[in-house]
Amino acid sequence: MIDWIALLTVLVVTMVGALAAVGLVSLGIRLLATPDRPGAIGEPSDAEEDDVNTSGRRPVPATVGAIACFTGFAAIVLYGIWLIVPYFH
Amino acid sequence: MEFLPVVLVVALALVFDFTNGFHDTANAMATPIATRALTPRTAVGLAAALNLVGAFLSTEVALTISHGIVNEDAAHGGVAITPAFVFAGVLGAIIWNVTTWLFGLPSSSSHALFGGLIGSAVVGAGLGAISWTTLLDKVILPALVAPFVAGATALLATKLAYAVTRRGDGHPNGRGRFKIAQIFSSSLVALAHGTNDAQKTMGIITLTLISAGMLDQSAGVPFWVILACALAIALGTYMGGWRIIRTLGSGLTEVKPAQGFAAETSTAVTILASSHLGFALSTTQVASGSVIGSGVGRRGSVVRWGTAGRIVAGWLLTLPASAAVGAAAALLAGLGLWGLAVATLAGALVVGAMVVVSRRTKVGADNAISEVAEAAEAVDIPRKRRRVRSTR
Repeated sequence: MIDWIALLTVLVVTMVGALAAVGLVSLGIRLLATPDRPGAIGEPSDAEEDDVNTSGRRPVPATVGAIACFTGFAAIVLYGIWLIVPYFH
Repeated sequence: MEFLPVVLVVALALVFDFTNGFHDTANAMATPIATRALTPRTAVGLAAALNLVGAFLSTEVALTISHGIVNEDAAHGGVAITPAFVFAGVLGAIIWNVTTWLFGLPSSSSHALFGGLIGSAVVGAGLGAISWTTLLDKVILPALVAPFVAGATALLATKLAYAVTRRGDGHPNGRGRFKIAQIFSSSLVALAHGTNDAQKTMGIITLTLISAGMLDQSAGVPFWVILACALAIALGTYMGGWRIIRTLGSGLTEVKPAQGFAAETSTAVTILASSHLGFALSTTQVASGSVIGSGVGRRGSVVRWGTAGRIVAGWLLTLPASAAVGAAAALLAGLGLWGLAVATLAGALVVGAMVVVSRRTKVGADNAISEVAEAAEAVDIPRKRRRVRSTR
């Protein structure tokens, strides 16, 4: 018998977990790359691996926000390790 | 039961563990190698270390390896667990793993092992020894689900990563920093792999020792078995299945840092969520699904569906092919010690032949992520720009 509930739970939990982790890191990286430098950097397509390229100093709130984001990601990673190691639970 | 067959099974199980390791290096490390977040040598070293550590973390599922799929109750029409039965199953799994490595196909080592044991069980006790519904539930359905769940997650995660790091004018900024994040996400995949996969071999060896009367029925996994399995899988991982790394890292789609991070995170979360919610999925199939999904999710990337098709064909063949080898080995093993010797020799010859063939087109740390592709890229970019300018 196919356990559709288990299947759906896996899908939802995976989506929420992965999007939270990726979203936090992306936001942190975006905040670190502020303020925007005017003009074009790289190509508008998503093909480029762009280096950090800002104009002037990064505002303090952006730095604090980025640290908060990376801390959130670290918490998710630690929870992952906690799940992997049976000794912990 | 004699001593010699047991020694042979233990040795063969460790060889399987080794192939399991080098087959699956790609799951965690193909994408960071592809984006140059890690150098090839650092990546396989890190994966090997995490697999080694992971192997010591758990023996929870070691003894449930074939549980349910093969009826092990000999009194009720099932197959008797003997060293010969395990021998044939493991030999089938090894040969299929080496074959798929030769073709650079990421395929599930667990499914190869299930296939080998199934083939061996059918020869030993007939088709009645296999629980087809359990097989459907535990192997076939998860195989259909894994790429879909991981792929859909990776697609959305990739879109999210690019959307967040895209500036108002459509230009990106600082995406190279995803390379650092990739180290963490791929390490998590490697650790999860180590805790899961080394246990399969531990289970096989312990089961054999129990069946041969060398260990109590209720005994846990002996420490030397844990140590040997941990070392075998770590060594295999360090050797790196470079052909498979090439397929996952650059054969399916060209992977960029943000995309690689999204794919690895999706792989890690899918594996952790599924194994803790009672719907265990194959690491290999999850990782392949993630890479494809992330390729679909990134603008301007191309997914080579032909390669994806070849991989899926490999998945479909895994169970029957390793079952066929397992069955043939079981027939030979049934002839007694001489049969075992002949089967071992034949297996060694087949594996040796494939290794010789592989030398013709050597893929190693230096060229896993193709230099040819890179050269083509270097030529391509200026041409593209020229074209853009001329249209303006």
